[in-house]
Amino acid sequence: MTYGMLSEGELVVSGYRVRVKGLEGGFRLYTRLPLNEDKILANVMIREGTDLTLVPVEPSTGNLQGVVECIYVKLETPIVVGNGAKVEIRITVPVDYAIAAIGSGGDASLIDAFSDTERPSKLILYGTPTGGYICRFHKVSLEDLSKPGLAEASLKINNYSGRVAIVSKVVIPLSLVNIYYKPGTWQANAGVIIMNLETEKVAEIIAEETPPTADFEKSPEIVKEKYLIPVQRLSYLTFKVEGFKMLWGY
Amino acid sequence: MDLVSEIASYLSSLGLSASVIRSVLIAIFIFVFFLVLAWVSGKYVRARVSVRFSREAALILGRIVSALIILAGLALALHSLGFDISGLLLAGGFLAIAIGFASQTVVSNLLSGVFLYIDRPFSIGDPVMIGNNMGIVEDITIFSTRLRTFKGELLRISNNEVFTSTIINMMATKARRIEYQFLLSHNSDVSKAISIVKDALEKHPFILTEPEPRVFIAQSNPDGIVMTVWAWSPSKLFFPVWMELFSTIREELIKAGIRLAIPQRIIIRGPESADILGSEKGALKTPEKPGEPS
Repeated sequence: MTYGMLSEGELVVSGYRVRVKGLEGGFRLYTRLPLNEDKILANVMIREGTDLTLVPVEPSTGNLQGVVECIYVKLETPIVVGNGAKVEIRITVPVDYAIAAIGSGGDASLIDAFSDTERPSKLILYGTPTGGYICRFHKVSLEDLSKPGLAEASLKINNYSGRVAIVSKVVIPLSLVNIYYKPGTWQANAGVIIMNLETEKVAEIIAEETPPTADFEKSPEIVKEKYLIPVQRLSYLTFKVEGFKMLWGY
Repeated sequence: MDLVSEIASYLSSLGLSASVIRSVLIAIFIFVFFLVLAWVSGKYVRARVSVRFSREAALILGRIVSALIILAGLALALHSLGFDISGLLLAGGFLAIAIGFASQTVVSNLLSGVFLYIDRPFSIGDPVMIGNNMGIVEDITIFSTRLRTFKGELLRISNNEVFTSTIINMMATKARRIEYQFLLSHNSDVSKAISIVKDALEKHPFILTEPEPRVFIAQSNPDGIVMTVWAWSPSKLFFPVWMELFSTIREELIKAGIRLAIPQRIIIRGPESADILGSEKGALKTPEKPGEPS
C-alpha cells in the first residue's frame, strides 16, 4: 500500500481491497471490499478527468465523524521534564484513509474513507462529561516505529510551569492536526506539536504547519462534492493553527 | 390606468366618497408599510441577537419586535380612518386588564418562554425529555415548545409546562453512561462473567476507555446474582450503542457457558394446592442448560 494516485487495478489497504476499474465512455469504477468477502462497502463511478488519490486523513471518519474532537496520545512511559527544560520526542498519531477525487481545478472531493482495521479505534473522554472532549485514544511507546495507519509527529515539550513536570498524555485537537504524506510510500507525518507546560496542570498545545521534508505533501482539503456521489459525507477539513489548553492535566 | 386608480374607481362604484376612499387607501398603505417594517425589523433583530445569544432567543425577540410593530401599524391605520386612538388606548387599557385576568395562562406561557430563553436548558435539535415526553426539539415559540417524538409525531407543550417540568437534555453532555443489569444463576462463575463483560467492553470501539467501564456484583436475590454494567459512550452514539451492546454482552456470556437466570414464580391454585405444598411432588425440576430458566 502506498499513498498517492490510484491507477487501475487492485490494492490492499488495511484489511480492504481497493479496486479501480476502467469502464466504457471514459468512466472508472471505484470499489472497496473486505479482504476475504465480496460484500461491496463502497462503489462510486468516477468521471473522466478526475484523479483518485489515497491519502491519510484525521482519524474521525465514518461513525466517528462529528464525534471525535481530538487525539489523546497516552505515553506508555511518562516523561519527566525539568523546570525550564525543553524536550523533543517522536510520537505517532493514528490516521484514517481517504480516497479523494482531485478535480482539474485542484479541489478534492471525498468519495470514501475508512479506519485502519489492524488498529481498532478506541475513544476516551478528556475532562468532564459536561465540558470535556471526546478523543481518539492512542497509546504510544517511545520505542514504537511508525507503521501504515500512523503518522509520525515531533513533540516538543517546553516546561514553563516553574517545577518539574511529569507528562503522560498529550491531547491534540483535530483542528490543529496537519497530516502530510509522501507519495509513493506509506509514510505519513503530523508535523510538529508544541506543548508548553504553563502550570502544574495546564498545558498549551500548538501545531506548526510545516512539512517534515520537501517531498511530503499535505493531505488535500476535502471540499463538498461537486459532481460525485458521496459514500460517506465528510465536512470541510480545515487546518486552523490555534492554541488549545489542556485544562485537565497532562 | 394604474392600480391605485383602479382601486379608487372600484370603491367609488360602491358609493364611497373620495375622502373615505383616500382614508382607506392611506390606512391600507400604513398597515402594509408596517407589515413590511415588522418583517424587516424581525429579521434584523434575529440576525443581530443571534450573534451574541442563542438562535432561540433571537427567534423570540424577533417575533416580539414584529408583533409590536404590527400592533403599532394597526393602531395608526385605525387612527387614519378617524378612530380615536386615545379612547382606544384607554379602552385598550381596561381591555388589557380584563384580558390579563382572562388569559393568565397565556401570560404565564409567555413569561415561561422568556425564562426558558434565559435559562436555555436545550436548543433546537437537541433530544430531550420534558416530563414524560421524549423527542427532538423542533421549535421554541413564544407560547410553546414543539417536540418531534421518536415515533414521528409533533408534540406541542406549553412553555409553562416546560418550565415547571423536569428537563433531561440528552445532548448537553459529551458522554453518557450506559447501564445494564444481568441476572446470573446462583451457581455461575461470577469472576469469569465479569471478565467476559470487561473484555466485550474493551473490544467495543464506542465504549470509552475513560471513564473506565465498571462491572460489579451489587446484590444477590432469590432469583439470582445481579451483575451491574456501567459503561460510558459518546452522547452522539449513545442510542445505537445502547441498543446493540446488551445483545453483544448477553451472547458472549451464553457462549462462555455462563448461566443467565430468569425469575421463576410458582403459582399454586385450586383445592390440590395444599397437597402440592405438603408433598415433594410439586417441586419443579431446574433446567441446567446455559441461558435457560433455572
